[in-house]
Amino acid sequence: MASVVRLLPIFIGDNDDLFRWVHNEHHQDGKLKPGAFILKKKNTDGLSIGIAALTTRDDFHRRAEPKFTASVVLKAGVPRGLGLTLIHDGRGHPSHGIMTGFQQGFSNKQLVDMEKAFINASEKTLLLIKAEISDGLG
Amino acid sequence: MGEGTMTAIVEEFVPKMITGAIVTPEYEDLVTPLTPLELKLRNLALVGIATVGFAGILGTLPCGGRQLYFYAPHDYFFARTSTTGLIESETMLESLAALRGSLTRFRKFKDDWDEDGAEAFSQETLASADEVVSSLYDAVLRSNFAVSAPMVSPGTDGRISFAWRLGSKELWIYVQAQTADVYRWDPAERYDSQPFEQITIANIQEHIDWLLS
Repeated sequence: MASVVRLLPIFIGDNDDLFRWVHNEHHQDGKLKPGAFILKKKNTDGLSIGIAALTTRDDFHRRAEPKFTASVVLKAGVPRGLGLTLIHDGRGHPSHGIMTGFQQGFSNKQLVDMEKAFINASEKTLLLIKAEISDGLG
Repeated sequence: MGEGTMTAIVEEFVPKMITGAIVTPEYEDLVTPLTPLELKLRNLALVGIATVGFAGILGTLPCGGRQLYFYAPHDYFFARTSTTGLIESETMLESLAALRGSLTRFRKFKDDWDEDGAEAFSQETLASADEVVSSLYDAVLRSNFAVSAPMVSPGTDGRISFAWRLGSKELWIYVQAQTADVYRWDPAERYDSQPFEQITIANIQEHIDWLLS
């Protein structure tokens, strides 16, 4: 009988690094564009992240879907400082987590200001996984 | 772009370039009238025209050992020289042309274009985004190109956003249907934006002026 291994959630410290893939359409010439950290209507539970302590940047890159052509690093203290909660859920990969706590009552301004904070904090860490896709349609 | 459209563009705009009918004042002393030989080269030179396929047309024309550039809606053109400013202008015009190119691409995006539930863009949103690009063109031309290029990106929620950072200021414009949500930061390193405004596309200019001021 196959055994199932369940990982215990880890605590994410403020100084821990979080990885996030960036869609080909949301970066250009080494700069992040609005949209890199947007919360989709269907993903109301939060934004996916990779917890650096449980993976490597290379491994994170290898697991990227084709249209995600870059990644960034964000210190956990940034979303936490904005009132968000970081949860290690291991969904799909042991290092997977989510930034959650986006309240339904958040205004567009609050969401945009959060995205600006994430971009400001992570832009200099942007690394290309592969060359940008020229037509954007992959 | 069809051959007929290309021919129409050439017939409408190239004569203005060749005769030097309209030259922006800042480039007046850099653009000299074409010689008779250069005029004879006109038909040959037309081969070098590059159109980017949008309402505004950016063209380039090799002629008489110089490279002429033109921006059709405003009848601007200038010669390539080794002057740094002009080379930057060339880059800027190409960046602006790329904005139009992006909008053309966004028209092809269908629902789930990011394979993660993103929404396609409505015709109304695309038309409004096109108007924003026109306003950005005007702003860049008015500023004598002494600015950095804005960026455009497709939102997964059906909005199209523009981000433009100049000096210490940053402006984001989210376009959806006939309205735009405008966010301004000064300094750009802040994340808490100035009081938010939702405006009609026709009123976008005042925010671009704020950025340029």
